[in-house]
Amino acid sequence: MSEAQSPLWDAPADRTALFEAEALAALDGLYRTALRLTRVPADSEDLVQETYLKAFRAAESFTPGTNLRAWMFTILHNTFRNRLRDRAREPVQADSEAVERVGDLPSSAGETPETLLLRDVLAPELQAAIDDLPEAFRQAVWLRDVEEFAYADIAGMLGVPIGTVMSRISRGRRLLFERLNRGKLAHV
Amino acid sequence: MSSCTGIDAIVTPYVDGELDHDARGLVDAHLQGCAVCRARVTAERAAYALVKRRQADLRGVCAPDSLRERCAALRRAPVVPWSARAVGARLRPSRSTRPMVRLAFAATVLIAVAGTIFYRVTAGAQQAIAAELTADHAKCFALNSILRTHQSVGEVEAYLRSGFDWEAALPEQAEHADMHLVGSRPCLYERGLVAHIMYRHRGVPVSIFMLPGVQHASNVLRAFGHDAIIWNDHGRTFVLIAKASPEQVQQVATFVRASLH
Ligand SMILES: [Zn+2]
Repeated sequence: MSEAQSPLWDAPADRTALFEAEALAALDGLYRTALRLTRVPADSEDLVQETYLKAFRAAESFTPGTNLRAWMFTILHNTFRNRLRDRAREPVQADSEAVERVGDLPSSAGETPETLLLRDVLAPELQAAIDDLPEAFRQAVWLRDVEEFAYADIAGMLGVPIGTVMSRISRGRRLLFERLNRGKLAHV
Repeated sequence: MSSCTGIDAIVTPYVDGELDHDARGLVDAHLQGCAVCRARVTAERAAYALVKRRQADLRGVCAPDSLRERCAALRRAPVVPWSARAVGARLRPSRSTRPMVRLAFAATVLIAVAGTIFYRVTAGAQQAIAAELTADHAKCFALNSILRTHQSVGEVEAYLRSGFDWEAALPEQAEHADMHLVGSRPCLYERGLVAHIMYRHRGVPVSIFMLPGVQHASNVLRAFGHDAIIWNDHGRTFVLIAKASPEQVQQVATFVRASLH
């Protein structure tokens, strides 16, 4: 990044201000992503606020020059997981079951007519379908295709190996395809 | 030709266009002879293309302005240690040329921690106080519901006397106001300790934090869905935190301010 070489970085106060400004620039994405996690606006706001509290407290542990946005998203997901753990829920187990089920997706997907149908799907319907995905797939597809993170960054956020990230993206997309298509075909 | 499981791991980067020439050729060759994987790629591509087509709309949701303000207020206030001689001294605006320093002098809050070190806190950092203490409130009550500790009025008062040099008199007959004492804990705030007294009002957890030796203006803030009410009394700052209706929180705060000495 060009900022890294900038003389601005030489002054600690300026470096802090830049760090804070860049961190705050991630706010919209963090909020959107928190909505996918909690599904409740008020809970999303709490989650994002706690993320910033932790990020500003731990600013010294951030390595300048690395991806600050990805670092913020990692804190968001860690905070979310901690909250789930505090509530003694077990999302991981539910997810791995879903992973097994979806692993045996029927490969009935045809070549053209069905994929053409998907072109008409508008954002609200697509958003609803994404939100309906099991959590593991929803997070993977969202972080990859909407927020555009690298596989490795997503692996860090979700605390899983890169191979798992890719397989969740793949299965998430195919599940999305199957569900949207089923909805479309029912209307034809 | 490679098997389906052999190429399984690289199908997604294939769809994403992240494979190099050779790996792409490997997948292409497999797809030519495998209808199952072709269907998979078709489905994955269609979903990927759809999300990309609607990506701008999906990213159109913005955080509320109030959240933006609250997060911006959590930025670290500049922290400057002051010598013990500064204790009790009245701060005046500095002629310093550094804007950060001037901003800090304009601060409404001054917290003394551990008696010797002063921290200057900007008005915006009040939000940080509210957020940190609210987090502490939630943690301590969660801990308490596991440990089920319960302290008497006498125990709490003795602890406040020895731990904080505070001859506190807890509200008498708090039960008549539906306030039930849970106990007290020392809590770490910044680099010093604050006293944390816990009550339940009609079952709702209520925390009262006492920060020693503080000059400060009153305020009402919100953090994590809780109300934080700040006031100053006899050179101490008090922060009351609860998650309830504004009426209930105000009722509790009024009671505590009137009866805690
Ligand atoms: Zn195959």
